[in-house]
Amino acid sequence: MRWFLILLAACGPSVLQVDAPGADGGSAGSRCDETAQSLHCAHHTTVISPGGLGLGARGVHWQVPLGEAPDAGWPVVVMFQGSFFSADTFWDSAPTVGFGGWWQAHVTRALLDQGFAVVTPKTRFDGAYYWDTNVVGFADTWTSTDDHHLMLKVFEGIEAGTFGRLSGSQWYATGISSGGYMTSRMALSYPGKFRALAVVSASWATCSGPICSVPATLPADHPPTLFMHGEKDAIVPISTMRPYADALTAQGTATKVVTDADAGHAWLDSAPREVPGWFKTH
Amino acid sequence: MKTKIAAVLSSLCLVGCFQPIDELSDANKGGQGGLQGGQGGAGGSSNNLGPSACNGFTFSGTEVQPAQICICTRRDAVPNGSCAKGANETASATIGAAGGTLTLMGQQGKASGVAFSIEFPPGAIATDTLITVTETSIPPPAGMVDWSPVFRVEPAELVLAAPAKLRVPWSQGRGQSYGGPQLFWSTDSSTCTLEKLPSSYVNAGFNQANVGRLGYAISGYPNLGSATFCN
Repeated sequence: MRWFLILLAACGPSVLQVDAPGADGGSAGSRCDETAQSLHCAHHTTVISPGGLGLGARGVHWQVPLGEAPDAGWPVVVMFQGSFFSADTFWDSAPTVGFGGWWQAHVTRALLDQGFAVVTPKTRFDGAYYWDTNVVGFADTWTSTDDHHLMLKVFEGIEAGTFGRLSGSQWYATGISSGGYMTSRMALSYPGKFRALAVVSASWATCSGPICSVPATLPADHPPTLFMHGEKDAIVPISTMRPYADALTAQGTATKVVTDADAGHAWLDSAPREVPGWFKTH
Repeated sequence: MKTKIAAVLSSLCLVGCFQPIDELSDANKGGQGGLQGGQGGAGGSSNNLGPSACNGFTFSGTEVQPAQICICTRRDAVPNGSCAKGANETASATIGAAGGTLTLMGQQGKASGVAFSIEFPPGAIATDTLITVTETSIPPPAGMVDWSPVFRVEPAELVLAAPAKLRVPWSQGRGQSYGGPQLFWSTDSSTCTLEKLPSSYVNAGFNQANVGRLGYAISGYPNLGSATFCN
């Protein structure tokens, strides 16, 4: 797959849809099929060549809810994967998958079942990497990064109907770990684009695990933000999230913090309820 | 601009210059070579692996941040917290002039969601060489707050013609922050003397850095006495 994407980046069009069979499948009333041991949500895949540094094409999985789109198009949630856990895992999971992967896929299902389109871009190397948002040398030169150019193409795709008939204004974002920092990046680098965010097991856009300094001044138009974090997170300590949430609250940005005393670095089991619920209220 | 050029060159090499990843699955060869850990927090270690074996490590550095509550350590038989202990799992691959990558998920990788990896660029190793990584059960060096097991990459004395990219997974603490872990690696002059790698970079769950030789790795930071371990 990696070499296919690289070839596309070098020779192919900038956007190419490469759906697998069953891309519009699903059971009655849902795009997703679930058993006790598996959850699969049918989806399309579009390959985008971000341009920018020219570091390779990216697969973007996406799906719209069943039924007719609203006149304004489906509200859309961009979901960002964690490091080394491909965006594939938003669409296929099992109860045994680590880091709350089961609940992550249930977030995808809950969003689709409740009327949100879902778009899940991959990191470089077919998802076997992490986002540039907090990488030294990139964090402060964001517009030079491949990920920035990817996001511009994703935004273009949402507006152009590449990922279905989507709303031009009801945009939301969520993600875990590296993808949580990337979610925060949406507030920092794309003001006005997103209505609300859900940051899972992460903190401010430029933090990295235990190393975290939340700016004294956050964007005044920072979207309302839901934070979800395990209190036993040994990768991204919960103590790095709290100053971010506190700063947003202090400046009057709507904020909600959901924690789990027993959870580590993971999607919480309440995420399939909390994330769609938060987005619906904004 | 410099950053951009460097990133392009680096990534082009990652994408276009390496041969496809040569990866072997983890193989638990428990206790290979008769590893024997040091005693209860003293930090000494010994084994009979041959010339690359270390009878204890030394390292230098400054303390990052005093701990406010107790933290777990791999010196304990059963760490009280999120310290994944090494179980002497190994992975091997033959790396030649074309370069390649060796990975090992191990116990820490499972805890962090990030595998240990060392990525050799073309030309780093002139002739085909069997490279082996072991997530050891060796206790961390005395005076170090450990964020990872001790990893050994052999042949430990092998000097590289071009830097390899090292990634070490970590986890620590009990949901609290103690500053960021640093990546320690064998010095140019001594396999058993560890020093902080100047190129060390930390992200969620792992450190990355470039190394010019093979040897031992651990993620952590010096403890000058203010860190309290859980008992």
